[in-house]
Amino acid sequence: MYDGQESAAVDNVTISISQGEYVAVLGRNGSGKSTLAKHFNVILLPDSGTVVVDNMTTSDDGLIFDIRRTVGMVFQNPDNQIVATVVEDDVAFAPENLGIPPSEIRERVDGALKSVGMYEFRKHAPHQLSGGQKQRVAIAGVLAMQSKCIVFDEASSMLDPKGRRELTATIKKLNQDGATVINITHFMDEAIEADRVIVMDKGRVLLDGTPRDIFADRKLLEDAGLDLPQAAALADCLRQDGLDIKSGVLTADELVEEIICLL
Amino acid sequence: MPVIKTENLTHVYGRGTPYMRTAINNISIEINEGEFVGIIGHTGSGKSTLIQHLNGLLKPSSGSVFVDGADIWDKGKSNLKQLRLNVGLVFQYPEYQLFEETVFRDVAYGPKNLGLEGEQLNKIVEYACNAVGLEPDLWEKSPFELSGGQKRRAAIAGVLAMEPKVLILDEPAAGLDPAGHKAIMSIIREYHAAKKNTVILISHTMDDIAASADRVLVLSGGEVFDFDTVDRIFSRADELEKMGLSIPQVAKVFIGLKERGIPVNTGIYTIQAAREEIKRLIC
Repeated sequence: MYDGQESAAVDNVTISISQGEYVAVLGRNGSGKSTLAKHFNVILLPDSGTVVVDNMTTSDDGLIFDIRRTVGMVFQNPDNQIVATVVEDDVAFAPENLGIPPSEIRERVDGALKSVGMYEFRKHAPHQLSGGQKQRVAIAGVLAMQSKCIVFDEASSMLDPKGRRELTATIKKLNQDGATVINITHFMDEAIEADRVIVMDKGRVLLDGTPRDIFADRKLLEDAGLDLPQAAALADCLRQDGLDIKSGVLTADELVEEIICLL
Repeated sequence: MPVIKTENLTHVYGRGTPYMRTAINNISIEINEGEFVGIIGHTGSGKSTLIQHLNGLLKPSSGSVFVDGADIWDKGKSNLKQLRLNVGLVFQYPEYQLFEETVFRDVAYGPKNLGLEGEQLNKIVEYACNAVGLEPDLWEKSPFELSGGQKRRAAIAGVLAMEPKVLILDEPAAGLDPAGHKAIMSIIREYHAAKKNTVILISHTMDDIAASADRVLVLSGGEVFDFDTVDRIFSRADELEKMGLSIPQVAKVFIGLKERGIPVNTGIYTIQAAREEIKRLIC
């Protein structure tokens, strides 16, 4: 509950996310997505209820640093996240503070920068980078911490389509390497990459299921202020036109296959 | 006469340093009065550098910019203040520039500095607030009490209140949720339809460009890749995708069908056109 607001930003939410899951969180502005995520690494504490991260309760003061090491956050605006004057120093900031030996820091920083495609910029000053490049540096900073769980809070919203595709691929790779990923996004095409989609509305969980299940309910999604991915919307229209397109089509490739079957 | 014209416009950042980079190279374009032009291009393609030349925020390294036929850097004739009245620029995330105590005063800041006052000032501010759909009960609130989408509207209203002849918007809907995104785009389209002013829109969202623009300028590596009608640009959707741009999924469906040897038109990017083309294909 925020001061001066009568309704709770997040209201009676009970969810459980397992190690290694890839979860997308959707919902209109003000639906409580970011507020929820900020509880995952103790930026916010609940007014009531509890949050447990890797068996640690977030209300336990002594565990804050362990929890924040476990859950890394990447935010929307990279300018608010970069602290150093050289790219590689910025990425090294967190592991340095964790007391990692220098040789391993070197390894982690190089690896993190390579996986976001910013290795060749490692000696640059952040202010010389574009918004998308800065965001990738911020992501590298979390990667270098080797957090078990990474929360992306609309991290792609300032990126161009290429940067967004690279980020989506990076998220997928991190997840395949074992990280738990929570991606809060307004982009439906990112959500379909996840194993599980949670739709928030008015501070509550409206829907929780696989992307195919979630995007099957067009009416409910639209009521929650969300769009179908365009290929799914076209599939829906074609079905209305009387064509035999199976439900659950989400991507352009799947729709191509369906149309070819009809010819 | 084109309202905006560039001739061999080139801008080099950091000349004489190890980070020297030619951001835009030899750009010659003409934009006509009343046109709605979309600009697309990958990050670093020069979109923002180009538009900052159009109201004199950046000075060309070489080449010229003409607004209303006058070279904006022509000594003696140049009048940057007048230029910035004519060409209004809405930056990315303009809500970070809100600063006044009330929404009304923030929107009024520009026209007030132009010397408007009293009834005239109130009228233009009311017009701008209404144009972006800010209800009167918000006008006396602090801009910082508004939601993200409302802040964005207030910031855009501040530029509309200057009644620019040319309105340039850099990713005006970025970071908003789908409903906020649609609202901002329809505000811009309505403004253009009502005022018949020139609008230049930078967007990564091809659907927005497809739904709004008359012509599309595609920049790649600081140069003009193409500048043509929406239909002709999207008929090159496969090339746009290779440049790292995101094309509407509908366009991808038709490229996919063509790759599989199905005789389809690939210049299709809206759901309505797609329905018709698929009906034609199947019947």
